[in-house]
Amino acid sequence: MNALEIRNLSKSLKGFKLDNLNLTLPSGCVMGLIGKNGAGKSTTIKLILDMLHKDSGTITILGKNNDDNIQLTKEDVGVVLDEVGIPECLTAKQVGKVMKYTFRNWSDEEYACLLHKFSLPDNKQFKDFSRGMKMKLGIAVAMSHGSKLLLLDEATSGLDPVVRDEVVEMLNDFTRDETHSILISSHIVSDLEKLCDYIAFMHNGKLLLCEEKDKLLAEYGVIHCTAQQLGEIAPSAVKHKKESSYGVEAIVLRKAIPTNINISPISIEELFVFMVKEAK
Amino acid sequence: MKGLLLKDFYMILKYCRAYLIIIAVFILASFLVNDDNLFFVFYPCLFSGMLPVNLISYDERSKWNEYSGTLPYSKSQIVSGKYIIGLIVQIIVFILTGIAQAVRMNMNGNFELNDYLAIIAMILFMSCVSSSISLPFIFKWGVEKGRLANFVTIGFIFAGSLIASKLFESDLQTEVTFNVIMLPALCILGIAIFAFSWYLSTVFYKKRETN
Repeated sequence: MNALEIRNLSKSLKGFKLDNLNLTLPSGCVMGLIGKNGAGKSTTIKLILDMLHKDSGTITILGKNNDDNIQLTKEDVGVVLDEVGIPECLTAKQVGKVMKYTFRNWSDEEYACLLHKFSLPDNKQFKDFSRGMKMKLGIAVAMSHGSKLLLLDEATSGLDPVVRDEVVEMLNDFTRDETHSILISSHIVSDLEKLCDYIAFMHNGKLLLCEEKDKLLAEYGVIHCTAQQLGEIAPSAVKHKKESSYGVEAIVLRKAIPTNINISPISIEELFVFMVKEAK
Repeated sequence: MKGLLLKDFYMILKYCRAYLIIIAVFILASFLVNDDNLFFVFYPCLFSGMLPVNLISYDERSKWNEYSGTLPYSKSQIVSGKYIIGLIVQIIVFILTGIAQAVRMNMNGNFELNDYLAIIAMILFMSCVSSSISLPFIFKWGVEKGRLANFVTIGFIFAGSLIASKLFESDLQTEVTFNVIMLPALCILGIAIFAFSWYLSTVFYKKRETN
């Protein structure tokens, strides 16, 4: 079963259009939704949760259409938004009590364990938490009610590198169970590169690409060569090039490159920047 | 929906203590003023009606209004949560105000059941109407735009009341008279306005997108 299936999803908003989006997130996998601000990542997540009403298309979450009793489906979905959204005056302890009456499968033990693991104080108000602590509390809530799918909207942005690493580690732990899946959006590509099995690039409301990360990394590479060497390569294999007085740097299709040219691994960030430039 | 109510209860305890104190002070002050002045009697009911609006305002500030959309609550449950928490507070204030009014009239030695029932009916009406006008606007447009629409509506109602009182040359505040038909009708009208407001807010909020 797929954790998430999006088919032909469209939505028009003032000055923005999400255009015919198709995505499939298999169970047990992590998909990174990469795009610059305003690309449509948050809109996609809100449409999945029916916080925005779609113009057309279908969304299936954990095998259930999101038009059918979405409240019940949300019992199995943990969500962390960019600004978390927990009332500022509430303490972690009070948040636990509120969520106990919100989710049928809420686990006090799991929540207490996560608070301890993240070193989050019980009785400090949410407004006094740092950005990292706020995000960790949001994640603790999202993971304490037996969620099978996590939807994380910019959950790692604004965090310091140490906290970001902890969050990524925690999400890796979550996906050890093969029934657990994550859709995480971010414009910080390096975080997603560590975490994701699938990468989806979005730009101006359109999906540029959705592919397995390893396949992408196996397919594309970076070469550093002279202009003359580049001329020997089939033009269709050169996806992007940057020339300078020191030589040429190019993003290429690995399989079409002669063996005498050394190919370096490409990063997802390099690939993303290239795709966005191509789309312009 | 228990979770929504518990969250609002925590917020009232934290943010609305001043409200509760002001309401208590006004109820106590109603003992000290003369019988003709019903301002201190009616004000706590009007004031308590502002509580749900303030809770929504805090929700918007903390982005809870977005976050609640990710939780397993329907939009009608989210709306109902605010009406129910408002109703609980208003029932408490209504009971306290009613008791205070009875005590005051007894202390002044002028307790008349007809007069008392007339005041109680007006308190009930005001309790029902105080939040009913603003909440549908706020659920439709959010607190900022909703408050503006609310002020405009209240302005129209106030102007309408002034014109009506001029036309009938009656002073509702000092010459409340018992009427077998009028008082139950006033109570039913208040409850009907409250119920319609609840329905309208639900319709508006279901259409509203959390963006």
